[in-house]
Amino acid sequence: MEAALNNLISPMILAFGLGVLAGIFRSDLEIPDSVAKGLSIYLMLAIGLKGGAGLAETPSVLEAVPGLIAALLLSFFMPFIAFALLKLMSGLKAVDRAAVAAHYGSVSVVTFATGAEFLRSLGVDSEGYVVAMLALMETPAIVTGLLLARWAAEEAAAGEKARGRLIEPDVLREVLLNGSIVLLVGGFLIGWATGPAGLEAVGPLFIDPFQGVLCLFLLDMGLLVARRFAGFQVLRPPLIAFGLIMPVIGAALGLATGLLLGLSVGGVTLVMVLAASASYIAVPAAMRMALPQADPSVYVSLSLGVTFPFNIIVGVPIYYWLANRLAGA
Amino acid sequence: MQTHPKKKVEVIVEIALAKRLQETIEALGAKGYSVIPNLRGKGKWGKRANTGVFGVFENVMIVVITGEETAHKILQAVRELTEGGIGIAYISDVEVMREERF
Repeated sequence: MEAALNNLISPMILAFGLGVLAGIFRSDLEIPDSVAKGLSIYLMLAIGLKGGAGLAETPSVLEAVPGLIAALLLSFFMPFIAFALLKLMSGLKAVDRAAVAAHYGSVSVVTFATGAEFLRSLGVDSEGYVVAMLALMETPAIVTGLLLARWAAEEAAAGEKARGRLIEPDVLREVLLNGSIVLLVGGFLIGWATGPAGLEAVGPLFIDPFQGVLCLFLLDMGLLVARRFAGFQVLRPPLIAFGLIMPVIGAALGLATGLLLGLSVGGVTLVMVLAASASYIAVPAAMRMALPQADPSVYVSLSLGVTFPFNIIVGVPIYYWLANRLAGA
Repeated sequence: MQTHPKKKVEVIVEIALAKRLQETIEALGAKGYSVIPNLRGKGKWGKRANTGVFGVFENVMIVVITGEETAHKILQAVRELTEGGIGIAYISDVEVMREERF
């Protein structure tokens, strides 16, 4: 309970709130695009480096393998649940449901970073390879989303097989080599290869200022959330309910996965955060290319406007509390 | 100074479609183009402002100077690419100095 309150008054969450307020009251404050992109490059490389250095400290790399497989499976199968749930709850078109589902199978790096900082503030450790799980969870959901959209289209066309590739080459490149994956995986490998000594060498840049940079980034996120309010008209109550229920379902799956893998309390918490989070950078970009007929204001508003704030404000402390109850000694 | 008539095509599209369009423009025979990123403004699809990290709602303008025939083909390509979604494209007359470059 106290941890939850501490989370609410952490500088990061307050910076997010400041951004929301500034946006609502139409302040002229803005983080320039190139600065925001620079901040996200920093965050992703820092997360990758820390995770890799963490893995270098574990006695056997093989320990990570079940976790990595679990990450791929979670990302690939969660969209099916989201797709079915949306069918029950909302009147969205099939193609929009497929696009939204892809977002909820994939992950949010900033939600992860917020969760990791929350744990750090409590002095809770986690397994380094959870970062590799993060990188692996970005993309399988996109494939599932495209599959769901194709099956729905074939059904609508009375079983006639859809023509063309499921994934065009330019979409595939975007999906596999987008900047965040390159940075997360690249940083992870650098951190792994150079170990704790390497991390210490770059620590003054990549560790110490991390929380401050995250504040700036969350300030920008707050502004974006508030300024997207125009797009929130598409958010009818059933959709908002979905945006709150789906992360809880994801977190439950993450909890089960973390417990099965035998992770530490911190590791279980972070896997819950990963499974609960929804993408709002990588997946929207891929969906605009691959499923242009799906409405971006639906999926961006849901993942950015509902699920992201829910996760960073209430989700993270609850997930930690549950993980602590069930995985704690 | 001697000038030569050419056509200028200006296209506003979502950044997600820009790469495909750039490839098409080259394939249709234009010798070059410029891309102006991060457009701001307002229109049928709402406001476009600072997009922050996610480029989903970012529009770009692609400017091409080329011959008349290619210019019309580019317009057609834009129509096929955007399929009734975001997309503004128009042709105007311009005069260039070095004809062989366009």
